[in-house]
Amino acid sequence: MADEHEHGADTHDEHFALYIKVFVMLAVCTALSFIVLLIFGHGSQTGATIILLIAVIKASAVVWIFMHVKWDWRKVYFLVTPLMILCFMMIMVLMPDLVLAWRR
Amino acid sequence: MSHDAPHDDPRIHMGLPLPNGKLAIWIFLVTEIMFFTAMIGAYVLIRNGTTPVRRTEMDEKTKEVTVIEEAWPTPDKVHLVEALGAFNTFVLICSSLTVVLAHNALHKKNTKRAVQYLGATLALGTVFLIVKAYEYTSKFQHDIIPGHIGEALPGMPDQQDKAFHAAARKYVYRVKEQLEHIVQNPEKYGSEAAADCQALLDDMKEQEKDVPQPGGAQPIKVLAKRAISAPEFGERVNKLNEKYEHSDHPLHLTPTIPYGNMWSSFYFAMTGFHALHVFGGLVVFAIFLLMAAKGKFGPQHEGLIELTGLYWHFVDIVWIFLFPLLYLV
Repeated sequence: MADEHEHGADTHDEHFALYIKVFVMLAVCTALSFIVLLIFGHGSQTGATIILLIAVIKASAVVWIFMHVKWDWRKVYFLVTPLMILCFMMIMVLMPDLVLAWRR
Repeated sequence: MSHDAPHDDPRIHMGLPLPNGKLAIWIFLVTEIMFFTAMIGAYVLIRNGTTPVRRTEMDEKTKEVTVIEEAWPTPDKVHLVEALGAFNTFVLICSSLTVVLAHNALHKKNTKRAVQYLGATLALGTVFLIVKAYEYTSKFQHDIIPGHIGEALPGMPDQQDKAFHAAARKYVYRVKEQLEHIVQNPEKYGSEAAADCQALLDDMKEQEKDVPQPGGAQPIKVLAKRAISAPEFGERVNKLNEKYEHSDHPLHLTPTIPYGNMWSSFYFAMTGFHALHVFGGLVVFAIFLLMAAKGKFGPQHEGLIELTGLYWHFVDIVWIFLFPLLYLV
């Protein structure tokens, strides 16, 4: 089962450097979210938003580069796109429960 | 079954431009994403939906009343160390890197290097599980287990007391047994701790006294001393735990943490399922290493490594979301 890497001019040595760069970026993001915790403390809304945004960026980097989706997008979009739409829909559907529970 | 890229082959194809294995693993990952989304979604909803309970404390001497809000427990209340979680995140990120480098090496036909990277991935995954096991033993030691933790503290509204009445009785019964164990082992816990525990046990006993009746009738028993209530009991248990936290033998009585049972339930469910997924991935990596030891591993397995890598990256992504939700936010 040969894998179809349609990289064109990309060589795998170039990929090696990219993987290391993404790894460094992920490590930095982890440290950053820990620092944001030290600055804002627990229970802070701003802190929570920044930390979760950093988490989304980290996850996107892993999916795009480590999971090869950057190169395989044409082959997997039909699976990932409905999933993203459904995730968004689920958040919308559950929003009223979040809001109605705000009895502060 | 053509391995050509679609634009090379002029015939019309049936099926997707994707090897079967890749399609299968991506569909599997989509189902796994839905599985974890359900748990994480429930956690976000329930956590945001918990209303902070306002309770009042009055200082005995100054008669000053302070209002305390008890909301979802912060990590320090439940003995969770954020730095350990951050370390675990870093470990999993490293293992993601090593697995993608293993695939890279195998693509370049460097089997030896690929096996080294797979070994590194297995080792890093094992480190993750060891740190998790250490965290779990800390929870078991402090008895922060779903269904065990007390929920009522003094000054909470009556509704809280009524809602948790049966659970509070079970909690008191459980902690009483722990207190009796300490009282019976003063050489291990220290005489001061044993005395404090005995004092708390005595306060839980009701005392009756006889009121003599005129005319030589039978004396009537009346309540002389009422047992302290469950919320008071919970508060004193917390204070005892705090007092002996750094001694040679901490008491490790089951604490009273509002919303603690909910927290504990989510913590064990989410991290437990995640750890099981990590373990499953490690089993697969171990199989590859066994194959390599028998000399049956080579560049022909590049596709297999890529698919296993996809699963491993998914496990990493779940942890990337679990870590901030449980430890940081």
